Amino acid sequence: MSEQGVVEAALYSAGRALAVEEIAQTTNLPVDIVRSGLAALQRVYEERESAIEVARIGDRWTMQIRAAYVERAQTFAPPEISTDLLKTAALIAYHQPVRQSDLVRMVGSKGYEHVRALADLNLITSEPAGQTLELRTSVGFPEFFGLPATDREEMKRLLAERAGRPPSPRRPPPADVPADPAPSAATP
Amino acid sequence: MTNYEDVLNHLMFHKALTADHESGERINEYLAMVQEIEKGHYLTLRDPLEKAIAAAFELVLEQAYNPWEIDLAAFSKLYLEKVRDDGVVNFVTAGKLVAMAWTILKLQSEDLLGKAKPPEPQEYYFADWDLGPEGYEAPDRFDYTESVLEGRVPIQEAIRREGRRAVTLMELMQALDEARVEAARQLELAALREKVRVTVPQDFDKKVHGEDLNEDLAFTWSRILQGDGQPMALEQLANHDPWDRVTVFVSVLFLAKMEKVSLSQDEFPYGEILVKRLSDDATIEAVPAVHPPQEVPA
Repeated sequence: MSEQGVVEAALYSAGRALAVEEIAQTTNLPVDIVRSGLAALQRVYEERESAIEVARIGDRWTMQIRAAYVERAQTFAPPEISTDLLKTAALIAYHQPVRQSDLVRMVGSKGYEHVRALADLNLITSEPAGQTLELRTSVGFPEFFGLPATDREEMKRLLAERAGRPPSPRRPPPADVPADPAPSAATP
Repeated sequence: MTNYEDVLNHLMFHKALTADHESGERINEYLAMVQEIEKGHYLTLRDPLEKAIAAAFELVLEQAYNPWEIDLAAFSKLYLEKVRDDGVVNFVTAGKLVAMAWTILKLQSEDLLGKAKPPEPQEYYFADWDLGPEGYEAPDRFDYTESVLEGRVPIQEAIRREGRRAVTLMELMQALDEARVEAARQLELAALREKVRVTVPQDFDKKVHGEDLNEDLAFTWSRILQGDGQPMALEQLANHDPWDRVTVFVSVLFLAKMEKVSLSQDEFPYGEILVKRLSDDATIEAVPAVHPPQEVPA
């Protein structure tokens, strides 16, 4: 049994994003081993061109279906929210902080209902701003949509690229991820 | 500063200037009206219809409803009919409703204006990352909002494995084994209970609760009086019947508390208990009945 395999088992079993410390605590592995294991797993899955990816979301890691395969996989895992609602969520994420009145100008009067639905799903937060509300994405937003970006500007750049803007240079990876992780002992 | 405060300050200023008593009174009325309005939308609305209209308006103002879902013309007509029927107009209420209706109308207008005028193109914000010599140049025509609304949605729900799994055969076997052990333990307990039930005398409860303490005290005291006043062994006061021994023992404890006898023991805990009579009274005063404590309801 390899340490990398233990980390992989933890990610697979959890079905949600996990912090490095959480994995280390649960598996009794040192934090450094978990960290290098995660980076190695990420590379292994990428090299295999697997439909599954080991993705980093902010300071947490998850195992999920790669974005390119999500549409096909949705037949077996129906989405919770409609495409219409997704559009509104994408606009809030890009324009945040955005006033509800401005959002309604973009999507029409259904925006009111969408705001309520997204708030019910804990995907956005709202604060009164005069006669209207100021909307922002919640902490759970990136995880729900499997977005690697958690800060506002990074998310904005990522969304713009996905919406059709040509890709722009990415930020270097965070310092706590080894640039060249140890070779993988386990295969997915 | 709020609008109400502006109005209040304005009125206060004019009140200070006027020397006319009648004008002063009128301004006082105005001040009261403004202060009443400031208390809130519903506080002064007592009429059910007015309250209902205000509540509907409030839903829009609190962003719960789309302003276009409110038919202001219908509400105006409704309110006018009410005024005609009543023959009395509460200007504070009317003013409040008009103010709310006006705000809704403004929201409707803004909504309409937004639809008529396309949103201005967003400026892209480039954070502090290094674009490098082959830096990215944003195409002039790209519009994120338009792109998303046209169907190029950049986000989709992440699909992950749900944290559920089937029970393994080993787990099932383990669970069955635990159930077997538990069943055996329960059977053993049931057998023990049955055994105890057989050995306990049938009239145990009657014997325990049917005794009269004062009768027992009198009986035991009569035995003690038969002695010569020297300490006597507790064993001598009772016969070999276990219930008689218990009766004497309990009675002696009560008598000691009543300072009719003193108790001593040479060796603790198994030494002989000696009872010494301290009184020559022929009878013992009755001990008040002790009621068992009442159960406290759960």
